[in-house]
Amino acid sequence: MHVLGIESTAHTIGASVVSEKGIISNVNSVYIHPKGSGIHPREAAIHHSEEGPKVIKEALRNAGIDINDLDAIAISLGPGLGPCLRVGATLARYLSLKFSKPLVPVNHAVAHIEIARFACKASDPLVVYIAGGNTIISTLVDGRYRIFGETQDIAIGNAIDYFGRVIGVDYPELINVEKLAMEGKEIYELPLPVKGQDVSYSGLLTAALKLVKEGKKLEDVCLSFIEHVYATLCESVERALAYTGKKELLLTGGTARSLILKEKLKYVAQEHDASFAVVPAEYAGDNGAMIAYTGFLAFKSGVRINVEESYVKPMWRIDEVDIIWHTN
Amino acid sequence: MIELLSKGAEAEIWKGKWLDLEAVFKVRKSKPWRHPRLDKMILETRTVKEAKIMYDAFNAGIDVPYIFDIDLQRYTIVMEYVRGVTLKNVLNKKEDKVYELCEELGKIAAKLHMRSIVHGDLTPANVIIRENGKLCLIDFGLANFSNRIEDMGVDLHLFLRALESSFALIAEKCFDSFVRGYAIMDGYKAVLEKVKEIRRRGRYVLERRLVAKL
Ligand SMILES: Nc1ncnc2c1ncn2[C@@H]1O[C@H](COP(=O)(O)OP(=O)(O)O)[C@@H](O)[C@H]1O
Ligand SMILES: [Mg+2]
Repeated sequence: MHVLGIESTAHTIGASVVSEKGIISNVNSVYIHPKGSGIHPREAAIHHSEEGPKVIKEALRNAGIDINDLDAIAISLGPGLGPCLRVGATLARYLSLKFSKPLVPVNHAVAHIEIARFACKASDPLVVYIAGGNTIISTLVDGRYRIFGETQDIAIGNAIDYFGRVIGVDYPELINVEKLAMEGKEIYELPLPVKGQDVSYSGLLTAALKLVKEGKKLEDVCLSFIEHVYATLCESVERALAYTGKKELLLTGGTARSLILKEKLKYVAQEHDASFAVVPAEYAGDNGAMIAYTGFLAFKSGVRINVEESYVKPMWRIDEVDIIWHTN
Repeated sequence: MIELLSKGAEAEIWKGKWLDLEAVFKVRKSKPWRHPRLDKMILETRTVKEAKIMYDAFNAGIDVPYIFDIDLQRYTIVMEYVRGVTLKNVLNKKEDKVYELCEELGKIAAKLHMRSIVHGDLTPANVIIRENGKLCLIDFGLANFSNRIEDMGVDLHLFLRALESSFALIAEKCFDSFVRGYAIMDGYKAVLEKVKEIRRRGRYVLERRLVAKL
């Protein structure tokens, strides 16, 4: 059985083929925003519509499969940016109709979790999914990925990227802010907004930017900011581990590429006698493989969607999706 | 003789004797993943604040463990040991009385909020049902003094989310009972509205746009 998956929720257009053998191709093209600005949804969508067909062809070619031999096409319908989502959805619908292939809806957030579970062979993990648009601590309970903690305002990746853009570091902002932080010495006190298992970063971001304006040493502000941001997240993760009693901790999403956070979360897991795994770099950022793989699981369990009903869902929540392919 | 009751996220809870009384020692732990200076800052602030808020809640007639002593060198609060089971344990058994208990907890939350105290971690694990059936609220580690509807909303939101994530099947009925109790507070409806807003906000917001406006 072969499933083609298409991803286009934000800055990445990706395509991949998955079969019983695993991930047999994974091709991605990332829209890089101009320095100093964030992602512009329409610009990204133009990039996706130019690159999309090429990416899909290459994914099929690398997999050595003819499009006629596919069993299904999986599409990431949300959550994400409307203009970007529509590009992938349009391509998927077109292929589905033209080649009479069933269409399988995939939730992007669920896919980040599934690919990490697969790549790290995690059986019942507490998942930390952090990215530009998401900060979610979740685990599977009664057939859904329930949220044990999330951001009440902006996502962790976004807070760090925004901070990085303001202080003028290059893409990828996350890594460059961390590198500056490693050279910092002084820690300034900033708000530490842990609300139960939830986090919130806008107050922390504003306070850190104020220090920048006051002319404090950049390395020190970076250190203070990063330490507070990660302390906040680690604490929520700890609370979730304590509350759920899970013995596996799994980190996924684009911000999983952080150099510093991994070390911190490793300690968190250790303290709670949990194992710790991080999604491999190739599946950390948005990618086609996670959609193809999740689509494969869903398709095998009978999940389908009619083309006429395959609307994009920019606000599709992770805990709205029935996870019928896991038994625990 | 001293016995470890629980090794929580923030603190270890030890049971022992203080003078001749059964006592709980809540000892905040250093975190190896925090920068040492940040770590010290956090431990001190939170120990002092927790004790202060418990004391205020106690004076407001809310059932919380009585504080015996504070040891700032060891980031420790010594308090009354409360005999009983947590609400989380009772919810696990899904007995009928859980709805009454939730309503009672709603009343307690209202009383706290009327005193401008927000709990900050209002989950079923932080409520002990005493042997006489009365509810005792514990773990003020994340509590704050606040008049903001937003912060009160967070308390309700956290309780609801804890219900939904661990007791999905009875969550709605439990929360309805909670709200029935909570309604003793004037202006409780504004808080409920806020809960809805917080939930909406937590739902995938188009973050990049939001940040663009910051
Ligand atoms: N005063 C007390 N009397 C009896 N048991 C307590 C008391 N305080 C805490 N506990 C027990 O220890 C557990 C954890 O304590 P808590 O204060 O909630 O710390 P944490 O921050 O680790 O959640 C509680 O769920 C309860 O079972
Ligand atoms: Mg507690």
